[in-house]
Amino acid sequence: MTGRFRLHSLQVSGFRGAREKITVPLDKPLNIIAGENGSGKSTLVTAIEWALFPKEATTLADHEIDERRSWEVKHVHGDQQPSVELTLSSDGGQTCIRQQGVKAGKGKSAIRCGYQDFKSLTHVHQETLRDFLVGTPKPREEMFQRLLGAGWAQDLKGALEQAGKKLNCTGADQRVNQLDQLLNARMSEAHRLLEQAEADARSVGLARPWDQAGETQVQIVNSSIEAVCSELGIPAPAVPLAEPLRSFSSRLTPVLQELRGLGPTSKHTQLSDRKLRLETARQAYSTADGGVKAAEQDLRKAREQAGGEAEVAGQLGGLAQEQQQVERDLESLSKERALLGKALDYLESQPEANQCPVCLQLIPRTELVVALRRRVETALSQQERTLRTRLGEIGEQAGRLRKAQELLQNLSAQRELAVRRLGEQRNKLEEVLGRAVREHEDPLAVADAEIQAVKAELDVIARAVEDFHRRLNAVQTEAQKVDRVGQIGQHQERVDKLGETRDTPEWQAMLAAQRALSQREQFLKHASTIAGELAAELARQNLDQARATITDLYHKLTRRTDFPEVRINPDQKYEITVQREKSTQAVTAVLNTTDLNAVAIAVIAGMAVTFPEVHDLDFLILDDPSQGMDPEVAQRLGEVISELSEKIQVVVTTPDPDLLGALERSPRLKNVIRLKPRDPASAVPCVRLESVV
Amino acid sequence: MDDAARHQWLVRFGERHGAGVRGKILQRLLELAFARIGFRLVDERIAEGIDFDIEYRADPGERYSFEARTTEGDSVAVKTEDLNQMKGRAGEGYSTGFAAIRVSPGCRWILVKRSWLLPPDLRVSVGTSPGWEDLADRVNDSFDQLLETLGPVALRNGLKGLKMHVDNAML
Repeated sequence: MTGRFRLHSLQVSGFRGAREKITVPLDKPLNIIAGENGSGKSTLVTAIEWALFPKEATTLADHEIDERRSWEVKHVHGDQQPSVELTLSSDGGQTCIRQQGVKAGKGKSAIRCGYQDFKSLTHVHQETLRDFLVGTPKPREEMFQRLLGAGWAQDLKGALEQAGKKLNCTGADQRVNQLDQLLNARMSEAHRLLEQAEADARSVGLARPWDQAGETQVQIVNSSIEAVCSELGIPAPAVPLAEPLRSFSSRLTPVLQELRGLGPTSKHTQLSDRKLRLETARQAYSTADGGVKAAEQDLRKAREQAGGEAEVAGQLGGLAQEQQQVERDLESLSKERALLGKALDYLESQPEANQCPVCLQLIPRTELVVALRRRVETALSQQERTLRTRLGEIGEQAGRLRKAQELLQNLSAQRELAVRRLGEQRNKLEEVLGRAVREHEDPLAVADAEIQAVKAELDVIARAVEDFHRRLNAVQTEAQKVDRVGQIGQHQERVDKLGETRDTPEWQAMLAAQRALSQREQFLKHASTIAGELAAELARQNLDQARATITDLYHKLTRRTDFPEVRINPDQKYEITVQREKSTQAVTAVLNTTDLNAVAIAVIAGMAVTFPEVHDLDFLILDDPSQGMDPEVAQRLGEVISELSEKIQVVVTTPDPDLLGALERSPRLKNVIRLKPRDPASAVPCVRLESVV
Repeated sequence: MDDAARHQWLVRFGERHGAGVRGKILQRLLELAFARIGFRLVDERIAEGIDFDIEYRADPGERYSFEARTTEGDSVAVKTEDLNQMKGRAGEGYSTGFAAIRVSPGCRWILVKRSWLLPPDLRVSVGTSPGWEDLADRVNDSFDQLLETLGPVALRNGLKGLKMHVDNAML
């Protein structure tokens, strides 16, 4: 899109105070938006701003206008989606810019003008005017430079500054510093450990040079081991290699361990084993002896209770005979019962007797036989019971005797077994003792004596072992000294390695990258400074062209002749002064509010018409420019604006009837848009068109 | 001398004499470092600010005027007045610039030409300006040797301990 743009029309709905769709023509050189305060003039003007710069216009940091601190684009009466359609005209035709919704629109802007240029050069707000006079110097200087056609150099300066910041050299420096500090901390720690290791080495009698001290210690260890082996008469085992010195003692440990198993230790072990075997055999013999004695005791008790085996056998024999006799008696009795039975049967078969020989009465034979049979049977049964009772007693007695006999046999067997075991243990004891115990000797006493002898020998050997171990421990201690030297070497290596870190290609590359980054930042700073100087120089050169116009406009507005010239000093951050005959004074010190506003408008308007070709927009928006002005000055302002519109399209908003009257009298082609007054009952404005002429 | 040892010297100077005097001690050691590599100390303005002028004995046309700066941060301050003063010295035939050192483990002097300097500050990591690298390397090596020889004296006696050597460097 090329060519310069003029305003053509504005269509607004749902935007801030504008509820219904409002279409405002802006296609004339002079466009007047008139209405009381709160009628919505600023809504229409800010709609233009939002259409062109949807993002920046709603960001306080960009426009720096306090009254927009709470600015929202949405409609104040409801949730209606805001919509603004701005039509611009140029030589190439018309361009329509649409913004909808509360979110800022995306995409490339259709115009070349930046927001800062728009704000400084095109949209003149009351606060902007005040900034010219009493604002802080830096923004004023920037504003002046933009007005004087150096905005592009300022934008370049800003872009270069941003590029410098994006390099984030501070972050890079911090990271390098952190690494540097970390490396330093590790170095310090490594040095501390090295010093500690050296102190430890000195505390055990070692001294520099450490390598030599380590070699000496290894030789001491070698000599000690050779001496021990020589005393033992065994070949000296191979001592580990000295390098590396660290962990030398742990590598020597297996060698010392092997040595500990030799020498007096070995004999001590043999004696200990012999003592243990003696004690074990003695214990076993003692146990077996106790077993024999217990078995004999049991046997003796059994004999006391049951008699000897022969006596029991005799009793068993007697009982057997008696049993046979009783059995014969029972057999005889049975025979006798049979005979008597036969006799009685016979008798019963004989003719009956007539008379009892006793009582002389006649007795029937049958009865007699029955009586006899009863008496005989009674007598025989009695005898049989007696015999059988006796037979039972004999059986029980025989059973008891057989059990006693069996017990005695078992006890005898046990005793035999215990005696046999005792014999075995004795043999073993003799084997351990190494000789036969003679008959008159007590095996236990012999074993005790031997154990005592071994114990005495063990005591002697134990002292030898202790001494031997002490010597080996001394060797171990000497070997540990080698370790200390090894640790020194280890820490020294760490110190050396850390010390070389800064010489490594990686570290050097990091520093080179940091340096390149800083240099690039420095270049950008220089370029930015040059761009700033360029902006200043360009503005300075252009200012001369605008001076006469500014003074002329000021005189037209104020009609004061006491100040022949309005001066703008670029060396003092574009401070505005007025020249008297003999002195120059800041405008804020000598002018009243009306004249100050007049100066500000004269400056802006003067430069706007002198340098209209600094951006893509060919119009000037004056938002309530007569605020605080006297009526006469306001009328003259109308005339000045009318003249301005010959050179540049002007949109002016005003609630001021004096300014409005003057503008309406302008012979220029114009649109006069009147807004209805705000409804007093409404808490928020509601933009409504009253007329468009 | 390794970086850690050099850093330790700088730290000890500060602990013993304070940061202000350390800066002046380091300037004097830097002057002497230049002297060791063949420069004559022309002028030393240690009381007013921290700057000095030197010329190469073998070629008096080779003249430098340095503002010495010491910092514990990432950058050193650059004032417009410094640049104006340097401009004046440049008019007298001196190559002017900053000699800056950061009190950090990897500290080395950097020599920065006036044309590189911009207010309000200079990042130390920018390094020595192109064309002065060889000079900076030589003076840093010389500075290290001086630290080993005169470091104890400077630590013990501060600026006074170096005065005699500075006087000799002016001859």
